[in-house]
Amino acid sequence: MSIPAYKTNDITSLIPQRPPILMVDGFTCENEQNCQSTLTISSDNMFLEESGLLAEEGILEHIAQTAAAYVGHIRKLAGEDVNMGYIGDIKRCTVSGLMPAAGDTLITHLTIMSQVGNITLVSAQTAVNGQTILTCRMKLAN
Amino acid sequence: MEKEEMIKKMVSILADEFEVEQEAIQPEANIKETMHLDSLSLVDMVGLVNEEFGVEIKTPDLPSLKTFADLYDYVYTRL
Repeated sequence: MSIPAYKTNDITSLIPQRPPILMVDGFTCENEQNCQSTLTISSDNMFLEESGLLAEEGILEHIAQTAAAYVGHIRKLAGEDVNMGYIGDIKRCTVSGLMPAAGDTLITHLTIMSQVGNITLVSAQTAVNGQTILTCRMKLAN
Repeated sequence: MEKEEMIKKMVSILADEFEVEQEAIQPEANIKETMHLDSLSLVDMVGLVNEEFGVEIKTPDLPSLKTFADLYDYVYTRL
């Protein structure tokens, strides 16, 4: 299936999550294998820890929602409803560098490695200010 | 890439990913049984083949890939 390039800041049309759990504020689908998302961390983000830094779980949720947005985009193209997805597993997760804080912007590049039935496997790389802070493989069911 | 080279690379990455001995990955061995694959982990094998060889295994083709020899033939003919 060929997927046309697509860009939106209305992420709620692609995923069922809503504030305060919404962890993506921009989404670009480049083609059938690559997409990118952003999140500028607000001071009331629920994943901010007492240290003022974002918890790793927040980044993983951001990646999961990015993958969900990709799936949502595909489903919309097929005329289907957007539904809730679930993280199946996370592998080869590497965290490096200082975690971001309020005001920082996460930029995540996602490569779709495979899709079998309703299972999607992605490879993700999240960066802040040009520095990669987390990479992983994530499997999602929807 | 020659077929023998492709098979050697395939055995190496599958053994590493699914934590099985390379010796267990014999051409006539059953893929799912050898690597203990369920429906969730099957997608890992598909993703790995796509990433390492640039070959996309189509979902409808999966049931026909029963042995490693089936997988080698499938990938090699699409390289």
